Amino acid sequence: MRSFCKVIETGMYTSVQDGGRIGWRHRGVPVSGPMDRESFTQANAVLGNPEDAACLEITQMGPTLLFNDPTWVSVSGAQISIEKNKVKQQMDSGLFCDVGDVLSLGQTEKGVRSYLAFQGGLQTEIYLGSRAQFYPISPSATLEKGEKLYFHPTSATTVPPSKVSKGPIASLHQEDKLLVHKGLDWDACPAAIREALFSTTMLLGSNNRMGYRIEAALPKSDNQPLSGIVVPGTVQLTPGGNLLVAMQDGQVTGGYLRILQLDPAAINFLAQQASGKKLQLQWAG
Amino acid sequence: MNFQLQWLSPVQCFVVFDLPLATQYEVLLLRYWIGLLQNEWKDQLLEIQSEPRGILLFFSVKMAKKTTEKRLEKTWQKTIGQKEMRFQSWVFPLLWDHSDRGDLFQYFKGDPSQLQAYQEQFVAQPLYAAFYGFMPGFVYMGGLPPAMRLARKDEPRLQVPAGSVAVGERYVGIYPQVSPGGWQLIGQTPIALFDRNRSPAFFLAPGDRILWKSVSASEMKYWQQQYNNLPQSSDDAILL
Repeated sequence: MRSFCKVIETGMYTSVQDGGRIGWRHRGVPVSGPMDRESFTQANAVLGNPEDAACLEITQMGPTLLFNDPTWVSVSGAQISIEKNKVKQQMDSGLFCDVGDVLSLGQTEKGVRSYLAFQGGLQTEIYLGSRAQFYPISPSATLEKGEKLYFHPTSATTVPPSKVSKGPIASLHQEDKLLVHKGLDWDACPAAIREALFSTTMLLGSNNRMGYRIEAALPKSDNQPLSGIVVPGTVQLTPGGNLLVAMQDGQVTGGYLRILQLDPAAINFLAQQASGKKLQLQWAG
Repeated sequence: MNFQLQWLSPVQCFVVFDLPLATQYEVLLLRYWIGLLQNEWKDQLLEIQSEPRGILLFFSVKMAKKTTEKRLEKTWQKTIGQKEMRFQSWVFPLLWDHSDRGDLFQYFKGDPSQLQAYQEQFVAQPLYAAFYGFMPGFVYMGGLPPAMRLARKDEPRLQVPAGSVAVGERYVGIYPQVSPGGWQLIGQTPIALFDRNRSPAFFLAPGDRILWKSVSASEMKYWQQQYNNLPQSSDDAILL
């Protein structure tokens, strides 16, 4: 019998994510994987897991899980309340969940994405080489109520995994700068927009795992290039003067000018921001 | 064709062509080149994604810029020395949307002669798979003559049904699943370019030829019931 826990409550947008679905972009499949890779890596490191082990990515409101079998878990990323059988628990440390335990994660604070790691990594279904949930590659984009999440068997006598003491997670800092590099179409970016880009205070708009919209109120332009390759962190300029940042589930091509590329650390930072946040762009060093 | 390199990071290199690819032959050259590059770097190369203006190489390790450029040049010279380019030719069934609320009817304002002429030309014109993008299994098919290109709709539809065959400017595409979309819908096909439960999940390769064949509603039903619904294909080649 395989070990599992059962999903009692799904949370707002909880999905299984691993290192990502690498090698399928040429068939139109986005890489997926964790939005904030730094927090994801930390959650796994606490349990001594492989770096890319499958975790749950929690968005703003966490799930409630009932354990049918024992295992160790850990939570890193955005600050979130954790209760096991209604007793408060710590983040960034190994937590033993025994048969019949109920683990409940609350709302995030100071950031919007937390990662729940399982010892050895979740053992959910693999689609095109990855457990990362992304519809239609996987049958659903998020956890479903009543679903069983499989993991490696562990017994209570297993030595508790050692804590990893790392510094504070950089993606959770509270600054308002977004570090960028020149994008593939920077040379085609209108001069008026290049001038305005770094002196404008921008507002984060609607967002999800596909991308973040940034209300930038830049001058309008009518550039309509051929569809071109877009990767996570690519910033496209819309004709209306706003910016679209592609994230982990973003389409592999886009039809607007790719004026900027986020610094890798800025992708993790952005993944922890909610709409309404004010930001300024800054050249990465 | 000439190219230059633009490094996005030490592991991501964009190879920019001087002119966008515009023919099946050029896409086949690229397909051959990509095969050589995969063989050249093996595990160091995670994947190559192509678009009309270039290819993006994703490496698993940091690459030296000079040697990368040399290997690209060497394999490119070998590619253009090839005398034969092989590919598959596919026949895709197409059930035309004949309703008077259909995009094609609206586009030609119900003119029966224009509608008939467009449909006849469409099934007589071989297309080719140019590249994948937009969503899993969405293939941009090139080869439409300028007179057959249809301008995109002013306002995109919020829900295009899966299996819709559509024309957007120079490209033809099949919506692999329900999604918003701004292209002109001309009909339906039973062919799924991506199917999670089929082996292979994807079958169409850039450079392959596609010929559309008009079918009736009952033929469409027959196709939908076929196991694995892979279309008919034959080996084909361009000789130089």
